[in-house]
Amino acid sequence: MGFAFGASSACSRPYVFGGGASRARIPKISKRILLVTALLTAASGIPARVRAEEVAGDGEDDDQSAGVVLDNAAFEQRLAQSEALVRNAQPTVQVGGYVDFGFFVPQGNGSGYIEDFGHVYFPGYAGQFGWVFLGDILAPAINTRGEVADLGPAPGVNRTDSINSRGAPGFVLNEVNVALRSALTPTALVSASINFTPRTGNDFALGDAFDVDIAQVEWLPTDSQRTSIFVGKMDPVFGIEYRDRKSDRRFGITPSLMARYTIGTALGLKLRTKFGSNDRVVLAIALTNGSNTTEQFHFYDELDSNAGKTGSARLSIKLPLSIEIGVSGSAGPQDRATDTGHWMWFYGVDLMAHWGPVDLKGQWMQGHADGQPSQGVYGLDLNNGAYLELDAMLTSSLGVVGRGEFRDAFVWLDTQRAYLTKVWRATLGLRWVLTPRAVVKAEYLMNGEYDGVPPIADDVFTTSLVMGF
Amino acid sequence: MPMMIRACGRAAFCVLVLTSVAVAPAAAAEPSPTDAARLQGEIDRLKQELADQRQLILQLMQAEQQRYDVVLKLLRAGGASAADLSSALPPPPSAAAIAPKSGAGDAGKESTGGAGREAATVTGRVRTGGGQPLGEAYVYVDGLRSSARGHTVEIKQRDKQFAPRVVVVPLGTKVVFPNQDTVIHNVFSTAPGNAFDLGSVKGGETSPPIVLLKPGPVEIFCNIHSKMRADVLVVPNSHWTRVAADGSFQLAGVPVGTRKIVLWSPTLKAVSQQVDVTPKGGNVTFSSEAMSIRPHLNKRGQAYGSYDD
Repeated sequence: MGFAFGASSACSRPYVFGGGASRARIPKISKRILLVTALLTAASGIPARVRAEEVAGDGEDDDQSAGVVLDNAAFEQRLAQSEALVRNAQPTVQVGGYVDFGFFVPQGNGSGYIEDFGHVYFPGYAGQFGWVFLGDILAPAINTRGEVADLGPAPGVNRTDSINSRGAPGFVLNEVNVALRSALTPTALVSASINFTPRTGNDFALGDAFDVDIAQVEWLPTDSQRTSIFVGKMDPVFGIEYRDRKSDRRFGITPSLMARYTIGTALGLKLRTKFGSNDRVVLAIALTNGSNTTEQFHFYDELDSNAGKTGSARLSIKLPLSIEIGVSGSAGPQDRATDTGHWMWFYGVDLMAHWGPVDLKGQWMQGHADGQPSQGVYGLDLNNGAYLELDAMLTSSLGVVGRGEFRDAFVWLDTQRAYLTKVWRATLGLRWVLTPRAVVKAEYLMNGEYDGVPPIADDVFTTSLVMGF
Repeated sequence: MPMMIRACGRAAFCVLVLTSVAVAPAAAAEPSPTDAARLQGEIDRLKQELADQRQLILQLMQAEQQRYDVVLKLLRAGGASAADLSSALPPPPSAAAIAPKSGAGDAGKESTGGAGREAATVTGRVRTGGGQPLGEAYVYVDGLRSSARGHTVEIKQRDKQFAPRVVVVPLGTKVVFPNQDTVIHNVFSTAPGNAFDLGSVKGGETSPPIVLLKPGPVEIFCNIHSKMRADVLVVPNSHWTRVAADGSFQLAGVPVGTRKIVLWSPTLKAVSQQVDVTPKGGNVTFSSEAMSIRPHLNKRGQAYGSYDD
């Protein structure tokens, strides 16, 4: 189910033909015609031109009111010219985007983890790591960007806490997105996406930031247009959640617990091609600087620190009953490491089904990163992680979203610190489509812990008003 | 503008005459069968003329709307001088020029020796190369034009598909596009003479109707979902029929004369033939080949891209 706002054009109204025969519009049109005729009579000198042509004619047309005779061929020619005029008047660069404004209410101090002081909960880590934290830093997400209500008081690190609510509810301008699109040729498309994020300043400096998440050329070299080659900073190929990573596309608000590994946009090359009837099989492969982790996450490397590159791929097949399943994986030298001896890899299975107003989406994955203590590079054991999401439109305007997920992972940095995550999350939300360009969404994220990790007060209620332009 | 007033006046006059003619038989005492037949013929003729006048008004309004749009565009562009306006503005339409050519059939009649208003049935068969399935194919008579009858046709958007996928409509038909999906659609066509763009329409809503005023095929797409496609054939008159699955067809009521019969299908190359239709009828055999359907571009003339829903 695509929830793009869909570009509207300036030529959509008034319609060239639409409603022309409507009785209700006749008076209005007549007024416009009268107005224009009066304007022209006064300003353009057209009557003089018409009279001149009449005088110059052979005088056979005795219907003086007929003016210049317009036969069908000329009329159609004129019509074609007008249509070409409209087509050619379209701007070379199309500008779109949206404003995402929200209000959120976090629980506790807004952060998703606690410190295991004195190794009370997991004494086994005593002597291995100086600090052990329990929970999930990115669990209390408040928006589609995945920003959390608060990053918490983690010792030994200096983090950019973009929301830093400290548990207080508040309004937030989540993102102003500007998307640009142009065509070098009809089959060579240039697109860019820039996000502006107004945030709190610090030490007399503004806190506002922007990030470029897409800057690519997509070339469709074949007549069938079933193969695309991408160059630049582009969407990943791993899994399916990247398709909904922007708030004008996502049914609900927040990303899944797996999104941090799969929806980051990386620099490189990509090929995506479709096979079979009705594009039944889709293969996408990419070679990029680094992994598809998100930019805020501590595994991402936009500009590579080593000579090795990350390869990733996804193969999917459409099955009967509008079900699509896919397998994907990625592997490459670990981001932020200066050598290529330590690898990071992920693999997973995804599922998508579309049944009328209902969509089902799911992803399961595992991953690993060796870490490189001497270079301050984190290690990761993603033992298991999965989500299953159901999106349903109850009416043409009102929809509901439900998602269940869990993440079992261990992240460490040398012997300095470790994060033990065994969390589950249940999300319920509403979606209200006001107009094709305005959507209101609300979500409640219930975050829970299991397997010895103590309960953490980190639920979140959040809302979002997305207005396209 | 005077032409529009004039056309409206003529239409009103027709209505008055039609009303008086229709009332007259009731006032007269026991008209003879001959008189009744003559009156009925007159009523039919006036009805036809009224319909023609309606079509004329519609086309005049369209032409004026077009002039208005051109002027508006120039004015908005700024700096348009009187000379610019004068050169860019299409000349005012002439009613005589754009009036429906209801006499086309008569012209054919005259060319074949004056067979009156007689009509006959054209039969025929369609063969496809290489055993290509015929699919949904239609034949129609080109060159005869009748006016709009005020038909309205619905093409729904359901489950990211148009329904129906193939439609034949008479010239001047209104087409509405109810969005019965839960997602947004943007229906458009770039067919020359019938181009339109409905903009973004959310689920459950229906955009205002469009009117198709130029005969010929109209390919309709969604600007968001590239796999959505509907094929509409705008026929210039009521002389059309669907070809049976075995390739045979019967086209009844074709005015006698030399007629251009056209075969159309969204999956076959369009072919046409001139056929001499006599009072006994006519016969035609079409041979056509499959048409390779290439991916279409979006409303801005660009490829949809790999992620096209």
